[in-house]
Amino acid sequence: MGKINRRTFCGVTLGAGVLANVSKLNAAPAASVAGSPDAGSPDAPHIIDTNVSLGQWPFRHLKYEGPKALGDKLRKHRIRQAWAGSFEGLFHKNLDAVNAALTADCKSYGGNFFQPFGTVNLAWHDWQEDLRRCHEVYKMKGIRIFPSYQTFDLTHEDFPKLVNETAKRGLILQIVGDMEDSRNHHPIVLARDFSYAPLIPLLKQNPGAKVQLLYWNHRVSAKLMDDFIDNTKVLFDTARIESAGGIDALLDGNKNQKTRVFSFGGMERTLSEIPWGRSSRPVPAERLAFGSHAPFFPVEANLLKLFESDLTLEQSKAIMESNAGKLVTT
Amino acid sequence: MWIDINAYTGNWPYKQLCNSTLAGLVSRMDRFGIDKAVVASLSGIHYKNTQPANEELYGELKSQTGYTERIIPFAVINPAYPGWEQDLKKCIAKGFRGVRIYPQYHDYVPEDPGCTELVRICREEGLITALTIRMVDSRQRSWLDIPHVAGTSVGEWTLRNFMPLVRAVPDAPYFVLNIANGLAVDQADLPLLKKANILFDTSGRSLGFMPDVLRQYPAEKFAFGSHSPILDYVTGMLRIESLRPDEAGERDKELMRSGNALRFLKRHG
Repeated sequence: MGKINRRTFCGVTLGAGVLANVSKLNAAPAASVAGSPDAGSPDAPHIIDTNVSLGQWPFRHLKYEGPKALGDKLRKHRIRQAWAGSFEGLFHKNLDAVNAALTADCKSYGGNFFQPFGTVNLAWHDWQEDLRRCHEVYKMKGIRIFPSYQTFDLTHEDFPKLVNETAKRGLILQIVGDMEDSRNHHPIVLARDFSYAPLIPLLKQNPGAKVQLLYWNHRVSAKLMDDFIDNTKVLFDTARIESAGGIDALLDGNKNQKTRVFSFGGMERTLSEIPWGRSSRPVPAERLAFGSHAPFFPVEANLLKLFESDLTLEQSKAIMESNAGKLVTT
Repeated sequence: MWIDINAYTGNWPYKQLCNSTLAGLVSRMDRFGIDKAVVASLSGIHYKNTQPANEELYGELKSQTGYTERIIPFAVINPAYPGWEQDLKKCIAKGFRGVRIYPQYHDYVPEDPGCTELVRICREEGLITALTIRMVDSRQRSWLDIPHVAGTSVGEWTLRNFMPLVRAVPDAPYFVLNIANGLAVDQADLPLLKKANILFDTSGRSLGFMPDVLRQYPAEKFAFGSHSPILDYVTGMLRIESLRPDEAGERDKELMRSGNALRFLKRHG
């Protein structure tokens, strides 16, 4: 399988200039990409961004806040669909109002570009009703939960019910590990610790459940990653995979990283001792889906991370679009 | 004439609020016959760097003709954040008339040197410093909001928490807003409180029975404030309008509707 000329890809996708081998991707000239949203050949590869947020982040103004600014920005980078959660879902008590506003925001941009992913909080007694409305009233394709902000963890007695119910309804369940690096937390934020590990036995019992982890990297050790790969069909987003080339490092099982010594927590550690999700075994490309965490992170950061990884065309297409697409349609 | 000395535009992280834009506030002012309002950015309370919130307010202020005649902008400044002096200078240059501080949210105490320095600069520049006793009733707070909860060891703040600042800069002009948990201060501070250049707004729960409050302090100490959009718009008005003639004369009512605010803003703002 031929490797993509990643700088060509960057040139096309980021609008940085037209380079050679554009025809390989059948992509439009950069000038037209940069000049108008959604420009380019219909055959050119596109991206489904599985991790964006609408609404207001309370602790700083984000440049591409809101459906118009964010949608236009994402479309300039060949993103054809974005799965949008709501920042307000982390903080508000009345989640139905948040989900209704998110749906209206997504609709306001038009063209089904934004797919709303509502919020459910197991700490509230009527979470089943919020889930029902997400599915039946707002016609959402999935929901997003934020255990570190929502005062429950995955050992909560209702969590198995949530997994069952989302699976029964064919909804995608996105579980957010973090929203930002804990070193940058606002002093008043008391985000809680939780583990993804209780998910594994539940997903063994529910093989049809459609689960994606977002910003998972600080909560998934190498061993847990191996367990997820071996025993579940969980999809991982790319938002917080560290370093340029980080994606292909995951795909090849970090074979070039095994002897590297990292400085972490003030100590020198080997790869297996650091907790940000570098699997000790190769992760199949079918288990990753593009997620930018925009507008909190610049979307370009994740595009660069993708294109600076040495991927085959098939791997790139899988991560950019088809893995997420399959999750919706299966 | 009515002047609201305690209003906001912007977002509160924990709840959807109606009329949280300047356009929404102005429509509410029109509905209830309010001529002018002192406005700060609600978003600035949670921003680490408050200056973008002040810029957002300024942008809204300039977005429509007529806003500048009715809206009196106050800046949210965090004296624990590096570069606050530059932020303050920029706000003064843009015509902000006062400063709102939130020690509970910005993690410092009012007697911190940075805070007293801020109030001194405000005094010298002719700006009013606005102190907010609380933003929301802690019994209904979000679990992610500050841990100042009534009935716990941390507890909600009271006027007492701000008295060290008033002691440190006694001749500065202050708005004291949304007074909850009483007007009581230590006995030694009482003469200072009575003499200080302080205007209390009428939005706080502790002003629930105005006739009693007016027996302790003269009408010159009070002005209409709504704490909008977090609190409803009319409670602060009703606390003035519902006073019977034997509780407050028309002159006193007019002072509280706008006279005291005008006097303060003319002299200091």
